[in-house]
Amino acid sequence: MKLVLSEGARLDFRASAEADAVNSEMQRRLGLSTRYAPARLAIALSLGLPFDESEITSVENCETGKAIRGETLFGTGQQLATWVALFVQADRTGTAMNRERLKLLVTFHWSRGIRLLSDRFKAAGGDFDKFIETLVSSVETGAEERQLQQL
Amino acid sequence: MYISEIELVNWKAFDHALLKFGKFRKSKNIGLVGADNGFGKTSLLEALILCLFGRDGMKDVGRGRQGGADGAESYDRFLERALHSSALSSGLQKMSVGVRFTTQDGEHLGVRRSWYFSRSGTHKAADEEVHLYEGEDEDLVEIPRSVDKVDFVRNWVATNLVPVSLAGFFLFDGEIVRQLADESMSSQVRRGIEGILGVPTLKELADDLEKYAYSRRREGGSADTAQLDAIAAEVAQLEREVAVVASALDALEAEYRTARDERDALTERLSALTGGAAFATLREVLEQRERVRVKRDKLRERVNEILAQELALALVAPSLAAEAVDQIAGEVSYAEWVRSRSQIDKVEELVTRVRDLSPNVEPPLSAAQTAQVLQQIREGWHKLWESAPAHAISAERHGYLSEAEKRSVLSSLRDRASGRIGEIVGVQEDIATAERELRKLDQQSANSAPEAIVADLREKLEAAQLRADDVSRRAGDASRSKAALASDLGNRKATLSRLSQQIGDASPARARADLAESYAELIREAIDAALPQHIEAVAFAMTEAYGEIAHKKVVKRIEIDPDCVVRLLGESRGRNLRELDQSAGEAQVFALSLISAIIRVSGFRFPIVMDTPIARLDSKHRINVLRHFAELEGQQLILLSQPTEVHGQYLDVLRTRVGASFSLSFTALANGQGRSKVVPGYFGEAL
Repeated sequence: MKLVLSEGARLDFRASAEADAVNSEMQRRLGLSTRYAPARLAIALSLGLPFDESEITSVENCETGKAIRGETLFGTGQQLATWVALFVQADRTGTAMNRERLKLLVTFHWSRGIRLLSDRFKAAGGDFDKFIETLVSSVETGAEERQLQQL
Repeated sequence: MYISEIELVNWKAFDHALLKFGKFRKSKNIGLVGADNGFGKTSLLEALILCLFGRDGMKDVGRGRQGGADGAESYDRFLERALHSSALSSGLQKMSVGVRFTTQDGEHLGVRRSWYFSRSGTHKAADEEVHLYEGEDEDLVEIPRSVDKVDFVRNWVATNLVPVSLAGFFLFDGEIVRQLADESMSSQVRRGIEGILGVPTLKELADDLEKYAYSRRREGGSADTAQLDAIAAEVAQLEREVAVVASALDALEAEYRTARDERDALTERLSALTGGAAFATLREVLEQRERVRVKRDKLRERVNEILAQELALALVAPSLAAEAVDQIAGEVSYAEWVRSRSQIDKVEELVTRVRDLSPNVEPPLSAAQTAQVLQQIREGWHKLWESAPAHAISAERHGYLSEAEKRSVLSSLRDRASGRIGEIVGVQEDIATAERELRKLDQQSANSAPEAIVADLREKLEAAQLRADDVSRRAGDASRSKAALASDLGNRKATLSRLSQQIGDASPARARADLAESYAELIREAIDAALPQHIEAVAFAMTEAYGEIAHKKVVKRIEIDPDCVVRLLGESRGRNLRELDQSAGEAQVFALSLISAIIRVSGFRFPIVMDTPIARLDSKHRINVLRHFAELEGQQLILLSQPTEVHGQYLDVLRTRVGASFSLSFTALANGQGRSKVVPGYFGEAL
């Protein structure tokens, strides 16, 4: 069945069980008050990276962690629409988007992304301030590239 | 009560048998039935058991118990084997057993059970009929249509005659006694007492309740229950973690207060040495330091907030965001173009207006020129909407978004890396500024005291300040961690509550399952509570019976503890004679003592029917057993005996009490089977 945006708010999304544990660890290490905070950072890191269908199917039947509802993980209204649009855009495999596909993509990106986030944190020596600095500088680098492209 | 009559039709070797026991008298309470092995003696006992209890009685039918594990199958097959050999060939497809009882009050009770067979001799469970009779005129008891017939008959027999749980203690043969004797004493006792209490029925009820609970839970789906359990476990774990962190936080706060007090004390001492001005400066410096530290910590919280909200979106790869913007903008553009194509229809309107205005053109146009101009206007107009704008995209990927939502997403993606990210940078800079100020203040505090005299104090003060800072930082981390856990816990608890509500609401069967389980537990507890109350009575009755039956008067008392563990106590108290090996015969004496005790303690005055239980006993024990059971107060005793068992001295024990006597004679038939008949008198002797 085709995707309906409002349904996305009510869907339950999960990372792999292993990734979920890392998510919880990152939440505590960063002192964040919500589970969705590291999850969003993780998803953001993963979304821009290429993937193929075999990587998606590899998480299809994996053991999963605790669920987060869509409206919590992505927010509502404009926030929800924006995140879903990014998932759809990032899926270049040509597979039709529906609820199940979206859930699978979220599982995949969240699981992959949380590892990237954890690696970055470790690379920053587990130092909160240094970690933020690296994240912000990667955003700035991207912004500069965009500006250069526009010139 | 006593048995006044037994009638067998087509049962085993009996095509027809009628035993009339006459009116019961206390002094003539024995009915004696003699037969050689295989002549139908045991068949008679089996007939009685199955007539009264039907399928439920199979547990007490000696040879039936050796059948298959499936009691249901063995009952039907037993009945098929029980059908008299000549019945089918004579066109008779029915077998029946009837028993008449007379109560102490002279009332009559009767049970007649009939079984029907196919022409080939097959019996099915439904082919069975039971008639019950009551009253002086032996009126047929009507079974209400609304009740289950089997349950009704079972309850009627249990209420008016004897419950099936006690059948084995009133109607037994040597095989039953032997099997009882082979069990441990405690399990024999437990079985007997449970029989008195009707425990097997209650246990069956408890089992049924638990099965019902299980099937109701399965109906509701075990997944939800498992999910509930998992979340409950998570909640418990989170609560533990919160408690641990809260405890650590308390400790840190206490530690901070200690460190701060120490710092303040050192500050005062240092100030006292350096004079008022220095003291004021130092205090101000330290107070300023505290303010800056608090500000820095708040800025860190702000960073956390932005990180969780805007930074995430900003981290998305610019190329992906740009691609999404191009796609969505292209779709919006295409949609606009499609909508605007309706303007094409307005071309004729435009042409008409231009034509109307054409007379005003100087120099005037000829008709051909006018037509050419109008045509060119048409063509130009069409060209405006001929093809979609270059960046418009017709292949829609984001059809789940409305046009308004698409515009909203575009705005979000275009603005994502602006402003708020800058705010993070600004906040980070503020944090850095605060850190620098802290370092400067630390330096100031170090310099404001007279070096030579107070170097030691200054060192201590710096150390105390570092400790206070460190504890403060750790307390901040713990506080954040606690907030994170508490938030997670809140979410989990809300989920748990919601799921519990859903399970409760959506599946009332689960509530019934819980109720059924609680009843089952109640029943089991009631059984455990009731058991000990009867133990003492049984122990006392057993002591009496054992004393009468056993010829070795070594055991003076039988004690049974609440767990039904039996102690046979001798002369010297405390010596448990169970430690002595019991012979098979002695074990049977114990079993028979238990049977006697159960009969007496049960309160049922049902007749005792014994089928040669004394074969394996020595002569002294045999005499004691026969005398004991024959002399049980007000009890009818029907003895089924081989000629070698109740004879001579053993018969002499009973002779004067025999009210009716029969023998079973057997005739072999041509088909290899035989026929048994009842003849009056005990092996030719009228007693």
